[in-house]
Amino acid sequence: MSIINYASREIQFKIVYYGPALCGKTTNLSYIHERINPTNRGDLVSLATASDRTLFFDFLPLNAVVIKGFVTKFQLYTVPGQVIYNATRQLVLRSVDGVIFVADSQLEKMEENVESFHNLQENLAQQNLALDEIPYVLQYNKRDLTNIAPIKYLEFLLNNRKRRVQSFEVVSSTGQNVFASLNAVAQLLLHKFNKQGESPSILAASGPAAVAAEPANSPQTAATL
Amino acid sequence: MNFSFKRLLKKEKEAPPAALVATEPRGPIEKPASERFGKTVMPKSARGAEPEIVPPLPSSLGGQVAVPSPFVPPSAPPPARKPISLGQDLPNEPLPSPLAPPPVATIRLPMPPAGNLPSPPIPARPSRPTISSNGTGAPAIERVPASSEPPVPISLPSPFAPAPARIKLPSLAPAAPFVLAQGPPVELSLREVLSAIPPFQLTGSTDHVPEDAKIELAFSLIKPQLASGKVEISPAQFHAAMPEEFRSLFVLDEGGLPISLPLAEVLEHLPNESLNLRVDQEETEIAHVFETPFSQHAAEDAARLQSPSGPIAKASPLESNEAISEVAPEPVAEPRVMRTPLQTLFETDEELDPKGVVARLSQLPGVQACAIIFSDGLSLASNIPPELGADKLCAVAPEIARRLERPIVDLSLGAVHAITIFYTKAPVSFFAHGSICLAAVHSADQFASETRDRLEHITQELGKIYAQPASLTPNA
Repeated sequence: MSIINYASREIQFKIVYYGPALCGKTTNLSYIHERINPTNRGDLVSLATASDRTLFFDFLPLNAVVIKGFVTKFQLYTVPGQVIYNATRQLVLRSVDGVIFVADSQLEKMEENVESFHNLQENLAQQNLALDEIPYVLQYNKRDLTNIAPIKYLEFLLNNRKRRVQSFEVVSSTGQNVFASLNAVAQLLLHKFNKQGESPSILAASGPAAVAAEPANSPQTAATL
Repeated sequence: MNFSFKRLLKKEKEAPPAALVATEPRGPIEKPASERFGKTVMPKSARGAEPEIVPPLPSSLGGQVAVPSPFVPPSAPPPARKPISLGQDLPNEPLPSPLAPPPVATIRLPMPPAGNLPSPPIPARPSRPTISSNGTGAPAIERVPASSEPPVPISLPSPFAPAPARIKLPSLAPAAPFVLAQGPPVELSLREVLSAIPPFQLTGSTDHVPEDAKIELAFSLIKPQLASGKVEISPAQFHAAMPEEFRSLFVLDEGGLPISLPLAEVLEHLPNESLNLRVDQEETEIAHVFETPFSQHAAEDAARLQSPSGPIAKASPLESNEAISEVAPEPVAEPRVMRTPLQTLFETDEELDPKGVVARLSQLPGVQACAIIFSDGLSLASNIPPELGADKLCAVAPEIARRLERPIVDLSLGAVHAITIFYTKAPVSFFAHGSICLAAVHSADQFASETRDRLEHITQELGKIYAQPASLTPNA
């Protein structure tokens, strides 16, 4: 559930990077943190063990665009991928707006990918959420390695649902398609919010002034990150 | 050594097991069959030593860690004790919460005196169901000789525990020869498969297995497991599928570990259509693309890395042999908009106008030339041979479609998908929908069914896009 602050005219979207252990979720966040202008992002909060395994979660706040007069902020989270930390994953998933599922392309990780994907669905179900109701995209990470599964098989494993979602070939260590996938989920979220904004309930809550500040058809102004 | 042994004995004397002090001793768990169901109650003095009751293990350990037994020197007489854990088969024990992990029983077995080992069990009559001695359905209790190491703890399945099935394998051992006969075979390199098997399941080196040696498995064995990310078969199935001359290489253990097939090898030899995505998939359409700084960074990254970028396109069922990765991805410089149905039919992200549609139609397999005729008289044609007379064809095509459709529909043979007329010069098919008529000149006698379907769908999409008032449509 996105947080809309009408007083400060801010919207916050929570995007969670989900996936099996060691698939590259934290690497995604580190790359984004590295590339974005420091004035438009907060610190990357990361609690990791000595072997760089995420112990709790990573957190990176970003400012992005102005939509309908609202400053839109994105909060990026990762979950610990190890099986035993399911309670933490459930906690991080609370009030999630969008998900980037990071799959490890290595052949021997296929089973873990499937288990993690099922785990995502189960954990969302505990919040009475269905995956199909949430904007999400798929990342097939580590495409630079040699022992990787064909994209066709990854699609068959993870993207063979009624609703087909966007999927990306990613090398998070170099940044290939890291921003493209983040942009894709951001587009889905903004599109959803925009649609909600056109509904009478949101308009009534925000009041005419809030919407009138920037007409719906005006070009979106992007903050420079 | 002596010193530590004495200390151990002393400790054992001083500190009896805590659970024994706190809990009323229970009756012996295992009795002779005559006494088990009878009313005979043995006097306490006749029971021998009290059974040692092991306190339950912490739930965090899952109750699966064996409690070390006291040190017993090899020459010492075996202790006549029957330790059991709490919570097992005890009548007054409360049922565990269904949410809590069920405790796993750990039973340390008695060590019978030397020379008093139980005789081999008499096989049960096949007509009767076999009931194990512990009454839980678990395998019979393993006896450990007194001269060996301390007793081996055996975990019995809890009656409350759910079946631990992570991957559902098709019925394994009993139907092996039948399963192998089902479905098209998938041929795998025997050498590759053997190299993935743990050494303890092999009798020797696999170096002498020729590279062209194959193992054939039924696709029906593999297909249900593809979605799990792992493909396994039972040892019996594997053994049966192996070429006879190499069967001696494999240690057949019916209850042994399942054989994990190398995924790369399996994927390489699957039938083409086995990984096709479902055809009824829906894609989210985004009408408005927001300019975000993420897209700027994405464009910069794509330019810097000069690597494939942007989302992966869905594989067409017609191109099932091609991996999706081979589809040239579009540059990510511009934020991607979801494809329109027409773009999906042509598998392109380019903007499509009628001119572009005509040009692309002529490139379809089996199509020599084509023309699109709108109800307002506008017609667009491409590659129509001069001898066919493009002008006449465009003028007559809507009329043919309109005049022939009515009597054909009256035949009550169903909807008309296309009308094909076999002229001497070339066969021509006519498709009509709304205000659009499409005439396609064949390059061969017949279109492939895929091409015909595609042409029909394209006509329908064009008819929707360029819908006109009913009075202007040729079919009105």
